[in-house]
Amino acid sequence: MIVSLVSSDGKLYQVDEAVARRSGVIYTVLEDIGNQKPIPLLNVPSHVLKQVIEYCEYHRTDPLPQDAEWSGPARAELVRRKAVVSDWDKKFIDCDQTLLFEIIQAASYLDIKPLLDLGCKTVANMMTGKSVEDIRALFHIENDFTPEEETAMQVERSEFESLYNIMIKSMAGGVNAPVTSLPIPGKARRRLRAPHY
Amino acid sequence: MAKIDELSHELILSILEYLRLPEIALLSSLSKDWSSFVQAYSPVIYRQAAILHGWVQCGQSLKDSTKTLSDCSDWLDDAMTWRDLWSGQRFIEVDRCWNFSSNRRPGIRSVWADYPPVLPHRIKLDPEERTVLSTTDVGGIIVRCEATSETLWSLSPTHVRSYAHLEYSNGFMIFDRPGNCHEVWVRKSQIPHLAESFSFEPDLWQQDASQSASLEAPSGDLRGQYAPYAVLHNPSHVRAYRFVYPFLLVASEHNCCVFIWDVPSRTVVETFSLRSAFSEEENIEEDMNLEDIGEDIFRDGLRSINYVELSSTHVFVCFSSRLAVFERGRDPASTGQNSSESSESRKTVLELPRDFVRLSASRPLQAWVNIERNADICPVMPTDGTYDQLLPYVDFRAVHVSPDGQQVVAVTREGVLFYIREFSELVALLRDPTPEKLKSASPQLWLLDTRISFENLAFDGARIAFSTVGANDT
Repeated sequence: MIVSLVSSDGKLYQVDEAVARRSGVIYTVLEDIGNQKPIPLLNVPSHVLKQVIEYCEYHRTDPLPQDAEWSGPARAELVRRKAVVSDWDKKFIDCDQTLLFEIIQAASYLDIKPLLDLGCKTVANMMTGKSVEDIRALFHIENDFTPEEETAMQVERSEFESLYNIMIKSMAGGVNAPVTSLPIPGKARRRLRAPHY
Repeated sequence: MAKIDELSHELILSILEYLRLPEIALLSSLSKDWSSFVQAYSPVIYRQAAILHGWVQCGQSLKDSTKTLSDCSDWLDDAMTWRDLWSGQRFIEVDRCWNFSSNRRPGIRSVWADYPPVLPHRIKLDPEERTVLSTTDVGGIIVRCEATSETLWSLSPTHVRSYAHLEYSNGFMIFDRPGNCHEVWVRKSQIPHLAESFSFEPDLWQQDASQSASLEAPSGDLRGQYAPYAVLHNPSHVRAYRFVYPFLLVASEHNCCVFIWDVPSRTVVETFSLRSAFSEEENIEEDMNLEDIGEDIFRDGLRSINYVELSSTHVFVCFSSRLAVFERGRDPASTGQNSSESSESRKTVLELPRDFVRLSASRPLQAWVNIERNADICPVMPTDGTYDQLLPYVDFRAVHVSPDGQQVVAVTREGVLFYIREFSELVALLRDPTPEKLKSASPQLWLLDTRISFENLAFDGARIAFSTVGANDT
């Protein structure tokens, strides 16, 4: 069976029902009113819809995500598995930033959870390991802090760092204990023991 | 044109769901809009991060989480928000955001000079493949060729936390994972030689890490490569651990007990309480301290554990206040069943309390140890009046035992080195200290006052090596 989809700029796309049903929204529409009329997708322009259809075509045989899978412990496991992106997906999502964000918006609008996840993962990966300046440049974010505010934030970070180092140093030396069990200072009554070296 | 700022808040939050803490910490520094965004949604953001990092389960409330987590970390009791929970956690996590202060650890990095600029934390040597395994200050594990320092294989910092402790023995490497787990990996070249009883059961997370690690490794040669074996879920909060194939000794400060894993079969074979190393009053006092949140940030309580070691017959535990040695169970199979109860108490066979060590003026020194609490036990060595120097505070940091279980070396934070030559003889002597025996016994306990602050201790039965903060001495 063929389903007709109309993009926001009026272009008509005809896809297999199995492909269209990847979208939770279209799935519901098909259940409710069937595939007699073209389905207008008012928020998805044609150049994005083309991409989304390509993705759904490729993944047409994947099992549909069940709702329970997308919340609860199984969801947590999926989030943790962020490292795994198939080669095809990687290639597919390797596009310019504007299109990437448009795909994310469309995936959200059309309720295609795996695609939404793929997009979000990709953006998060772009930010991983970057500095403040890098991230600003990456997303064209304007730095509207005054130099004073910026310095204050840096001081805060470096103070935190030196405390962190002191603790790591004192604790980690020769200890085969993981540092996860470090207690945290934060209360005035906690005293700092003078280092012995 | 879509920019990240133009996405709905819901979508931005979906993206941040995949972001680790180091990057989350940066968000509010990006711009004023971002700062207020993070402020507005901080409960959601930090909660997501908690799930991502595996500290809490999906659907678990903050109250539940602080309860489970505070079982192991007393400072969490008063965490009121997810962010509070994280401001604690941030000390612990890979905080790569600190890296951009330029004068970090001058000089040390250059020793391990190469790219990327990471500082090794725990270094282990695989003598068979001649490789060096290390965890780092930014997370991850790097396996290098000993001769060329070329990186052969690595696990990403997203998989292994910063400053992770690493244990290696007989082709198996073990490191800790948040949530009181241990990951076990086995050397790939060893797999064909393993008996059939070894069954690989890595979890999904390990499999993913393994997959991405192998992709980056130079193809063909298996040298230095590791495959995931299993994840061990510890019944209690982990403080210190030591792996001597096939046993993994894990010590928990929280209920003051240790348990011993048989790693190949992934079962806990022995569990016992360490409380017998302390008097009743000390135990009560310490239990109260645990409830009183973080009286001392370095946890130098009586029962804080600095190091653990095991031989085939004994378990050695370095408490801050004393070195205690326990006998291992004779019948491992019988205790394996009720491992969660951990109530079995075991008597110590030897204790070195911190307050009663005296040194003479010459060195190396013979020691006189007065075990006050067990007043019926006589001094190990007869005194001759030359022991005049009292060490005011001895903080045991590490202990090692030779492979045959006879020679024991312990070191304190102040640099006092204890050496026991024949451990079994010393134990026998203490068990039945008749005056005749004491007279005829040869000195068994030696002290060496090195007066240097040490970082690490290594001991192979013949040589003692310890690294200091500044220089290396052997």
